[in-house]
Amino acid sequence: MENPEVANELFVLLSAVLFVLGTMGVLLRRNAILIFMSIELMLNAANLALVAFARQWQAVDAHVMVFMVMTVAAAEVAVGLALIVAISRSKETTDVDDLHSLQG
Amino acid sequence: MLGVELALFIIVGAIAILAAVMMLVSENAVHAALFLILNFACVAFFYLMLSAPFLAMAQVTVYAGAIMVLFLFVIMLLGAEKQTPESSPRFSWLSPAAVGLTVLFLLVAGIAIIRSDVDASEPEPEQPLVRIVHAGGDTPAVDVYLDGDLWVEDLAFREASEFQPLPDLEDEAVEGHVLAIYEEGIDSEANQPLLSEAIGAGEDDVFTYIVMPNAEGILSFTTVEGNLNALEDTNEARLTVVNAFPCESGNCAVEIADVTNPDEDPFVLVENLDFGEVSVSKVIDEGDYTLAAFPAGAIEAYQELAATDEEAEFDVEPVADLDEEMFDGNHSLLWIVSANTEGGLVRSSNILLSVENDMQFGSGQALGRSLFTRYMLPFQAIALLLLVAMVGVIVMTNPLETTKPTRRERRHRRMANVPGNPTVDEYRQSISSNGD
Repeated sequence: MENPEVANELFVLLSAVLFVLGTMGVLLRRNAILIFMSIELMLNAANLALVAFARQWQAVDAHVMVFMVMTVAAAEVAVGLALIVAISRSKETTDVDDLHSLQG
Repeated sequence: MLGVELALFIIVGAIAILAAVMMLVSENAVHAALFLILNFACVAFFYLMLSAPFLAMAQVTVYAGAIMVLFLFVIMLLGAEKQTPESSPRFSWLSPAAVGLTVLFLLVAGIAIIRSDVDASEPEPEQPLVRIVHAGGDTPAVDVYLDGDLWVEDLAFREASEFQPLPDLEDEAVEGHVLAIYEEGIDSEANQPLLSEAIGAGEDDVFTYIVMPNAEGILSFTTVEGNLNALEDTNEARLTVVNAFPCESGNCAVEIADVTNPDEDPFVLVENLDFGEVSVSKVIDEGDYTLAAFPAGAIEAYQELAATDEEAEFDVEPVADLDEEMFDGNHSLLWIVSANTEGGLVRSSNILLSVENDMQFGSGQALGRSLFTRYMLPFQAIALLLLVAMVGVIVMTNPLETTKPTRRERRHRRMANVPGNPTVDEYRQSISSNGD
């Protein structure tokens, strides 16, 4: 394999930046839907790193892994959004700070 | 000098980061979702750069398409796009702590990556793959020994062993392996080999060793370096010809020609292939071919005859031919023109070996193959997970489950005579009129 023009380190660095932005979204935003979107951003950042390493090792297994992550993300989004819909129906809010019925 | 690819990476990377930041800070949830779609599109572009075209397509359809539509749908459904100003966090130290922690993480990850603690070294070269082909018509079946150990047992004429990786060299000082051929079933320690040769171990390669005798019956190896890299077009096949046709006279060279359509221009495929020689591999379109091997020089006479009179009895006979052979696309074919003696007559005998080429890295084909062979079980598990998620979503959002009024409530509501609400009689009337 010839040397790629864009080094793998750059892709991994970009994926780290995106992951951190997603983490910030989870920690700073209070809207459940936005928190959820930030989690999707984090999953995508992890996928990007996986694909970058797949190119480095010429291993198609990592692509299978990314495919599975995408599928699980789709299932997770469906369940999570259903939860949000159910909660907002009973509590009339999607703000996570208002959901403290489990607090002791 | 900034390359095009690097420039594209920087531009699209900047867009991706900008979109993520905008998603973080935008007050309107719909805007945030749209920025996230932009970010996903950028990631799909990176997948293309990383030679994963199938994943790029899946990213666009599954993420930017299906998942984000679901998000937008729920945002609209709940009316969450009209943000009430977010309640101030219950803990005033949470925001600075979050920002500090994430920046710290980024710093650690960045330093690790820049200092190249991430293992970005080249993968170890794989051991070369080797197979043995028996092309000696009058030679009995043989056993093949590698470095004194039995490697392939009972290889008869026209048989080929599977591709096997050469083992690592145990002793670094020894250069290469020794391949030895013995008559089948003979004790290798007590007898002399029919043929013994040190083979050079190139790296990351595919070799075919052809055992063939010359006219005097002395065995020798002919090495064919296989090319199993994917062809540019999957409708093409790669053909390599080996001349293993022993002859008594001085000139043993053959020429390979396509006699399906003698009028067509690229009539001769391989010119002047001497005994024991390997032709350069030719890339041909997939399809049916009738290939023939002529003695050197005879091909022009054949061509002239074919051009003048189609019904002519040909004086010029090919020494061997492949009649209406199907050449599958994306395959590497090895045609060994060989011969054996039958009843005192030398008869031609073809050995045609076909190997499917490696698929393009990252293509849908390659992904599908590993998904449906090695990762079949995880694939099924994921499918089951999706099914469970689907059922779970239906159960969770089923309004009958959560808002179904009890019998008492229903009765109570009907009896209540609140202005605006229908009385019991009106209610019954509306039901009966609806029924008509």
